[in-house]
Amino acid sequence: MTPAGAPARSRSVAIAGLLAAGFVLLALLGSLVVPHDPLAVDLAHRFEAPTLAHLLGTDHLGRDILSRLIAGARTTLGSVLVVLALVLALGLSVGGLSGMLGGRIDAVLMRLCDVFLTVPTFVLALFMIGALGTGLVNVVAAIVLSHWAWYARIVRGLVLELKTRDYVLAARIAGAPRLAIFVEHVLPGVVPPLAALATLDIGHMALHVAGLSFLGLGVQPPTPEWGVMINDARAFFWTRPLLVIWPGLAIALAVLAFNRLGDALRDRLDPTLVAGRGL
Amino acid sequence: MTVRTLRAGGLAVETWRATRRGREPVPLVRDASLDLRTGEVLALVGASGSGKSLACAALLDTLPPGTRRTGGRILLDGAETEPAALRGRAVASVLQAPRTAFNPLRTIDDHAGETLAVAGLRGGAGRAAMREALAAVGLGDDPRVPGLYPFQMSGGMLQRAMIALALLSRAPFLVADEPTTDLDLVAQARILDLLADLVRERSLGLLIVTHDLGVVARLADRVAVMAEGRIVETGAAKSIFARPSEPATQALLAAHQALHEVAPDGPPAVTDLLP
Ligand SMILES: Nc1ncnc2c1ncn2[C@@H]1O[C@H](COP(=O)(O)OP(=O)(O)OP(=O)(O)O)[C@@H](O)[C@H]1O
Ligand SMILES: [Mg+2]
Repeated sequence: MTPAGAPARSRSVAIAGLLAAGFVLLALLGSLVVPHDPLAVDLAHRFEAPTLAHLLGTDHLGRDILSRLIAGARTTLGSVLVVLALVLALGLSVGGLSGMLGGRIDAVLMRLCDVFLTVPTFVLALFMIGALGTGLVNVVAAIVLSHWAWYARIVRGLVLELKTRDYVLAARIAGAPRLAIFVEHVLPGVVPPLAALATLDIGHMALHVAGLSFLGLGVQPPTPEWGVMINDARAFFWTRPLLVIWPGLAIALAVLAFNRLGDALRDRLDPTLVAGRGL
Repeated sequence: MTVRTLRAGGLAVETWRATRRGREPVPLVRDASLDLRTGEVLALVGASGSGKSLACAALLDTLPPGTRRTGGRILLDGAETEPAALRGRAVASVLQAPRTAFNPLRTIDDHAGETLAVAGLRGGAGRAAMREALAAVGLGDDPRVPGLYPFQMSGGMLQRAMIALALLSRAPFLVADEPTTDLDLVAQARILDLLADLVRERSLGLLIVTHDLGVVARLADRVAVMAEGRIVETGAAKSIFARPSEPATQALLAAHQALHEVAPDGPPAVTDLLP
């Protein structure tokens, strides 16, 4: 532990926490605070510089950029939350079953995981969109299908480790049913590291959503979404760089904030990692 | 009160060894039979590694990974029973290390809830049963105990709490694999006293695994001696001490005597500490 580094580190965690909370609030309540309709086209006021009416200016169709950014938080982070919920549900149930039951069921489920682990997100997304068409639902499905197996693997590993604890044996000897043992003794040990991992992955998954939408595979214009906004602004990059910079900044800040937060959570859970980094 | 019996016949446990020609079974417990009746204490003794713990685990089918049961029948009151069905219902267990046998994130109350759920007791009846069980093991005076986390309790208290959980299950039989090994001498004597009282008052059938022949002399009605995975001698405690017929038994007795003769000023035997 380096005493000198500690305050700076905790300050950066506090900032990251505030930013992340802000993004989540915007995603939840953004529609209440948007200054303008994010879809309202106003060709008379295209490419306006930041003014009091349009704090971040307007885009090539005269839409208010700040409103679109706020509405985009809901699209991007909202779909990330859906992805995470599905990934966690799949990972916990498959990994939990695999680890608790073991034997042949474990072997079959883990081979299934191996198959999904070999599929890169972008390839699967391209395949699904080719087969089923573009759209947010397909993008979400592709990200879930290419990520759940990681979670299942990690959950299984944690379950196997926790299963060797004496108190799990004691509960087994006392005749507790397997489901009760899982809920009472195993799950509490699985949830904290999983929460840290999920927080770390929010940024990563936001990049997937925005990236696929930027390529035109996910959310379709005019729906406000950060990746879509960058794609919209691409043509005007040399003349109006701010149009690219605003959504880019939003993505960067969101990814950084959630990464820092996830890092901090993981450090709290595993102090040895912090000690290792100090060397 | 009717006497209940638990009989394990021909228990066999093996592990595997990798050889050039594949896996080769290695027997760890061979044809071990144990006979328990309520109101009686059966001591299982034997050198370290002779298979005592595995024999107990085989009784309940809770063998460690890497081993498996290859034989044996369990008869509860004469009727063949699945080992898993005994757990918490016919047989309660006390483990060696109380510190690790409790989930560090759960209070004594939480652990009791788990046992009560197996026993099918809920609500007020469950709470009353728990108060009674804690009082029976001498933890009834402190009202904080149910809300304590394992790290807030001493090893002796935890071992008492584990015995309370065993009582809570209402199982007629109790398996205790070296229940006092991790405790200091005074706590050991108290726990053994408690077990002896409980066997007498509640007419439990106790299977106790121990290294200490002093414990055997004090508690046990009958003794089973294990050596190299087999039960080599069974009989009344008195007769086995008086006339050990097997080399394994003789060796155990000789070791015990040597220990207490070589160190006359050393720590007294457990039995000497007791009133
Ligand atoms: N999980 C396992 N895998 C393979 N072999 C094992 C396993 N557990 C125990 N054994 C072996 O089985 C034998 C009997 O072990 P057991 O734990 O029953 O001995 P014990 O009589 O209880 O000894 P102690 O008095 O030291 O507790 C030992 O030789 C041990 O090496
Ligand atoms: Mg043992």
